[in-house]
Amino acid sequence: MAVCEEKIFFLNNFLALKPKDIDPLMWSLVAYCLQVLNEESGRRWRLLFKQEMEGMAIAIERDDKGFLDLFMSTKGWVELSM
Amino acid sequence: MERDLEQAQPCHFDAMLRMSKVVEPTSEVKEQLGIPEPTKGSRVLYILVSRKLQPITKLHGRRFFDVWKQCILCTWSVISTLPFAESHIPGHFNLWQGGVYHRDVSAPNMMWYEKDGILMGVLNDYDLSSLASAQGPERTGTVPFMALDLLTPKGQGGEIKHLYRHDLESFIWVLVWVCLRYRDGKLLTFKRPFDDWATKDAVTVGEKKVSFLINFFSLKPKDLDPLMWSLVAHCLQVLNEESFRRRRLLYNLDRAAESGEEISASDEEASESDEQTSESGEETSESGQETSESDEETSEPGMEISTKATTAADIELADDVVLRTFRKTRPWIELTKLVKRYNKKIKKSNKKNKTSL
Repeated sequence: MAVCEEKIFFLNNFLALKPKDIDPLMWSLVAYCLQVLNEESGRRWRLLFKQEMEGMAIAIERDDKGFLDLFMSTKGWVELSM
Repeated sequence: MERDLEQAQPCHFDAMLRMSKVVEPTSEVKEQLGIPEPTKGSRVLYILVSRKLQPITKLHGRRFFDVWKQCILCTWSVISTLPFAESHIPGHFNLWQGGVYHRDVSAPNMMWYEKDGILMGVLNDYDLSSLASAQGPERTGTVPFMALDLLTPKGQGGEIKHLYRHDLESFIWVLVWVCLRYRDGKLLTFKRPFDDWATKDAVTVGEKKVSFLINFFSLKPKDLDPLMWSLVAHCLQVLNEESFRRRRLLYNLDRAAESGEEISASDEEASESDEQTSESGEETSESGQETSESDEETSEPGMEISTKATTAADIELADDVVLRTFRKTRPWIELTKLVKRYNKKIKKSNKKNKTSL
């Protein structure tokens, strides 16, 4: 549980932990991926909230390909893949 | 004392019955009592006598909401250590706007008394309050109720300015604390959550609270009044949405500073979060005793989320906008109506009794 709590806390505050000597492209990739996780968490929570409050089943999970594409479309991912 | 109580104003503020200042600083008092005292940071002792107040933890359901809301919006607060004891002192929101910052909103500081069947909320203990012109870097507050921002290493290091929304968040943590740890005004004796929030260090509690915020549905008590649970859930979701909104803007600013890179995923999600359902609600303001309640429509959390920021300063919403985001949630409006209806009935009955006498 402690690791889970620490990771959630980190996800919320990762910008404050940016290393000064990291390659900008790598940081761009790290930050983008973490932000996608954040946005995904927000999206799922909005739907879960609606589901819980309104008592109706809602499809919460994205399809796998769509989720993967969120990461693969980033500038950092594309440039580092070249 | 009884005579003083009778003479005290009956409504929405708590009269100071006695106040005296002990001339000697606390260091001298403690020295005379043989208690060791640090040489720096000595305080001045004020002895204050007010009417006997009850803790908010004794209340539940509509009665709890009534007092809790008054503490946020319309209580006439006891100013314990400020050098005045005026009879007309505005409540927390107005005090904040006037430059008096409480900064220690907690369950033990939220109290009430009853007058002719009507509950009066009192936000107690302005010991840690400060004036806008003199806000120091020191951290204040009671850990289980402190805003998440202030429970980070930066927050604990005094690098984050204490804002109105931090106090408002503390009110929400009081709501959560009481609804999940108390039942019918009594502390639960088993399966009681958050005990460790009161004992762990601030940063660890911060991590636990962040984790709770995104997992709170799993802690839904089966025996809690559904309307109160709905209020808890809506308020926590507003906190969640606000946190997501600020983090997204911070990320966008960071990216813009780095390279001006556009992020399609964030933009997509931003527009998703703005698409919120809304329903019409009726006027719920209460006879001029507080700032007017939502007069347009109810909304789901995140209704007023702004997703554009060009500077770090743009990230913060205006205090009244933050407050309105909570006040426009459906359970808040429904509970307000319940309280209003009940109090109207009591006042009518009181009037009838007076007339018959």
